[in-house]
Amino acid sequence: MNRTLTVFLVEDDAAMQLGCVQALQLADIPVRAFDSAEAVLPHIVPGLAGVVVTDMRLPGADGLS
Amino acid sequence: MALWRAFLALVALALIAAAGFWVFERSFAQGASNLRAASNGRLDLFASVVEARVRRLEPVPATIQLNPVVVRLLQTPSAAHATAANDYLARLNAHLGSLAVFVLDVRGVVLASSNTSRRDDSLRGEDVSYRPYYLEALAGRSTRHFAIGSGGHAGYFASHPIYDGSRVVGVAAIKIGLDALEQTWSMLGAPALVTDANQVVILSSQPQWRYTSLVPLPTERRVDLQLAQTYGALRLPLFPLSVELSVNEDSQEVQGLLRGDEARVSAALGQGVERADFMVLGRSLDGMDWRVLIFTSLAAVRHQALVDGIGGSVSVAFLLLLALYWAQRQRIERQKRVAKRQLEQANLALEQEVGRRTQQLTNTNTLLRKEVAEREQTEITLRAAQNELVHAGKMAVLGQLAASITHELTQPLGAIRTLSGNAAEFMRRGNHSAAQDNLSIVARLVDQMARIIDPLKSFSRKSTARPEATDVGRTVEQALFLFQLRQRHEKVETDNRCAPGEWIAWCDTNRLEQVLVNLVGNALDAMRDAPHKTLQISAELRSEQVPPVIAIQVQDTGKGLSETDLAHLFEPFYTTKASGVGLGLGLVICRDIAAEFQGTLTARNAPGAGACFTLTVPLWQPSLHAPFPKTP
Repeated sequence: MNRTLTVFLVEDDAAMQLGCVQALQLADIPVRAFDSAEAVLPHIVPGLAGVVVTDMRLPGADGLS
Repeated sequence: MALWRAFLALVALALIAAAGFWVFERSFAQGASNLRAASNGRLDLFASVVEARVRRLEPVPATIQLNPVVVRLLQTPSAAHATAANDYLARLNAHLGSLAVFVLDVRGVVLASSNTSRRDDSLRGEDVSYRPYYLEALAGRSTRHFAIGSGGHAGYFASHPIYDGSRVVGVAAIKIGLDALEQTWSMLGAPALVTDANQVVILSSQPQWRYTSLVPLPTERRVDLQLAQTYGALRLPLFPLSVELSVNEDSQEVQGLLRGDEARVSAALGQGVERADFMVLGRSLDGMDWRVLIFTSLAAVRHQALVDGIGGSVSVAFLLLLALYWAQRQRIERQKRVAKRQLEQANLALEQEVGRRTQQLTNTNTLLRKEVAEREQTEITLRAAQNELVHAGKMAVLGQLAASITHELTQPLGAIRTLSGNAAEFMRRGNHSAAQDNLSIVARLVDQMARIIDPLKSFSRKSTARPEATDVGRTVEQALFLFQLRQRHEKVETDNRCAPGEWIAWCDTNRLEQVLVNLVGNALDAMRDAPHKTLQISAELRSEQVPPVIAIQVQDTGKGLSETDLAHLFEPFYTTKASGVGLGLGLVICRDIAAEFQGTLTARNAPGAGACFTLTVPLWQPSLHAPFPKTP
C-alpha cells in the first residue's frame, strides 16, 4: 500500500467543500477540491490513482456526466 | 225637527206679542184710571170754585125782601123809595161782588137796581117779564138759570119772590158774573166746557164751543128758549163732537164717549188727534143742573202704555232668550259630556292598542335580537372557518415549498456537521486557530439557515387579518424570496418593477404576502414547460377609483388561460393543475382575502402570451388610516 491515492473532490458549496477537504486532510488523505465537474474533468485520465467524490446535483454538468 | 223649531219660534213670537199686548192693555187701563182719578180731583176743585164764586150768592135774593125799603118801594112805587132801594141794592151789590142786584114788580119791570147805566136785564125800567127767573118767582118758586142779558152780557140769574104777607108783590133777582170761572180753565188743564140745564155750552176753554148744543134741541124747546131770550138771538148750533154721556146720580160723576168721525174730532180738538185718545169726564154741579166736562188726552197714557207694552215684549223676549240660552247651554253640556265619554273610550281603546302593539314590538324585538345573535354567532363561525381556510391555503403553499426548502437546508446542515466534527479534531490536535475558523464558518451557516427559515416562519404564522400600512415593494420581495431557489432551478427570469417604499397599501401584510405567494407560485407552475420564462411583477396607482387603489400585476409567459379557465378560475375545486398537485382552493381563498381588505382579484390573458393576474388593494391614506410604523 505505498501507492498514494488522491481524492478529487467536486463540490459547489464552499463551506461543504472546505469541511470535506479538512476531514480528508485530517485523515492524511491527499485531496484536491474542484468547484464544478467541468473543472475536474481535465485531471481525470485513465490510470489515475485516485478517487473522485462528487456532488450529484451541481449547477452546470452534474456528477454523473 | 225643522217644523218643530218653526212651531216653537211661532209660539215664542205669539208669546212675545201677547205679553206686549197684555202689558199695553194693563198699562193703558192703569194710566187711564190714574188720569181719571186726577181729572176727578180737578173736577172737584172746579166744582168747589163754582160753589164759592156762584152758588154762595144764590140765597141773596131771598134776603132782599127783608129790607123794608124794598117792600115799601113795592107797596108804594115812588121816586124817593126807589132812590133808597137803589142805594141799598147798589151797596149790597158792591158788597157781594155780583154783577147786579135788582127788584122787579109783579109785571116784570125793574123797579130798583144796583145797575143804573148799563144796558142789561137789571137796568131800571127794563121789562124782563119773559125771563124764566121772573116767571118762576112770580109763581112763588125761587129759581136760578143762565141767560144772556138783554145787553148781551151773559150771567147767572137767581130770583126769589118778595112776599107781602102771603101775596107776591115782587121778585128779587141777582145776576152773578161768570168771568171768574173763565180763569179756572188752566186749573183743569184740558179742553173743558160747562153746560147749563139745556145742555147748551155756556162756558168753554175753547171759544168756538161756546153756545153750542150738546144735544139736538127739539123745536118747541127752541121756541121756548127763543121766547125766554135765554141765549139772546144766538142760533145754538150743535156741538162739533158727538158726546154720549152717562151720569152717575150718586156721585154726580159724568162719563162721556166721543162719537162721530175722526175729521170732526180733529177739527174740534186739534190736528192729528184721534177720537180714542180722549177721555170725557164730567161732574154735575150740585143743585145747579150744570155740568162741567173735560176732554182729557190719553195720548201720553197711550204712549206710556206703548212703551210699557214694548218693555213687556222685550222682557218676555229676554226671558225666552234666557230660556233658549239655558237650553242651549244644557245641550252643549250634554254634548260635551258625550264627547268626553267618547274621547275617554277612544283613549282607552288607543291605550289598549298601543299596549298590544308595544307587546308585538317587544316580541319582534326579542326575535330580532335572537336572530342578530345567531347571525353574529354564524359570522364568527364563518370568520373562524375562513381564517382556518386561509391558514390551510397557506399551509398548502408551504407544503409545496417544503421540497426546495428542505434541499436549501440540507446543504448547510451537512457543512455544519462536517465543519463542527473537524473543529473537534482540530482542537484535539491543538490546532485551535483552525477550530476557531471552522466555528466562525458554522456560525455564518447558521445565520444563513435562519435567513431561509425566518420568512417561512412569518409566512406560516396563523393570524387574524388586521389592516395596516403595508409596503407593497417589500411584501413582493418577501414573497419572491420564498421562491428564490425554485426560480434559480427552473431558470425563471424575474422582472420585479416594485421598488420598496414606492407604494404603501392599506391591508394585512401577511395576507397580501399570502396572495402574492399564491400568484407567484401559480405563475411558476404555468411556466414550467414554457421555453422562455419571465415573471413580471409591477404596481401602479389607480387614483381614478374611489378610494384610490394600488394595482399589483403578476404576469407570466406561460400558455395563458382558456375560456373555460377564465370562466371558472375563481370557483372552488377548479384547477388547471395535474391531479394531486392542487386542491383548487388557492385562488378562491386569494379572492376572499382581497375582498376582505376591499380589494379585487381578476385574471386576464396578457397581450403577448401568458396570464396576467391583477390584485388591487386600497392605497394607504395618512388622513384616514393608522400611521405607517416607524420601524417596520
